[in-house]
Amino acid sequence: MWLDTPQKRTGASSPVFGPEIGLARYLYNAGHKNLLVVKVAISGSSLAVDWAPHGEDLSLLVSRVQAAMAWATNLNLRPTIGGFYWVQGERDATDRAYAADYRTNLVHFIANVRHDLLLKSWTPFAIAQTDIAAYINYEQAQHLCTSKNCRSERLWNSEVMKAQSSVTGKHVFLARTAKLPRFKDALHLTDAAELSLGTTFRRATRSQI
Amino acid sequence: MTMRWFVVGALLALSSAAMVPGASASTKPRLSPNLIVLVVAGQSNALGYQSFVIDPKTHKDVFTDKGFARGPPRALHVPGPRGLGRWTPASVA
Repeated sequence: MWLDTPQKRTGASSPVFGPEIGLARYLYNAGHKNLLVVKVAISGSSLAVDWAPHGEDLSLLVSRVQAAMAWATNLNLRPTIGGFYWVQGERDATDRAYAADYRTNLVHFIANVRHDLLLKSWTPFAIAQTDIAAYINYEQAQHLCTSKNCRSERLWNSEVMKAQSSVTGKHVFLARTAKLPRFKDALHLTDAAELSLGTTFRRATRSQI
Repeated sequence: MTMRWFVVGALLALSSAAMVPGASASTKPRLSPNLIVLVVAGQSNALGYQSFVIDPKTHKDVFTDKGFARGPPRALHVPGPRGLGRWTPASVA
């Protein structure tokens, strides 16, 4: 397996990786030798605005996936999108209105992705269930919340988590992240956690890939 | 203005045979190999935050050739309104 495009985040001293490494490893070991991962991830992006229909990030996602499919086809390969993996929600969980709308927005997002990327109706859509409870605890300790005892902040986080679990179904899967280890900022998953999330993604979608 | 980061990456795993369709001496036309495309999208936890690959002999990060550092300082100790959209490289450096 070649990692031919190490991902370098702006300002970071070393490459980074998300759940795709764990996911691709397990699929490869399961016999799927021809794999291509396309990732479009934007730090701090919201589902309410950035990934909304006609939003900047959704447009970027569609164009990048289409470019990858065309590239593969030109190499005389037959590309098929085997799964879509969504790791987002923290930004929306910090805003009253975004959190309240998250379920509606997520339902629309799934439909838009299926339509725009020409996914089969059975193509798995996997959602990492976000949880910023640990970060809210930090905020509470630092008196950064907008409400007493951070009640509002906890409610918004809960709304997003419930929304993520409520849209699951026959071809929409949930991968929990609440118990995964995080860096000291209480938000970001460690390398081990990213590998673990990739494994969970693989388990959730293996019956359909 | 808040700087936003994005990474568009591709990880390719292809067998060498698949990379060279028709390379064998077979007289039959070969079918194009299937390629499974996995799409990952989202925020910073999709992107990845900070990666360490430590050489067990040298105890150095193989990416940076520097000694392994413990976890980064809190990334969100920055002034301004609450919100996760305000991360900047300077805030996590």
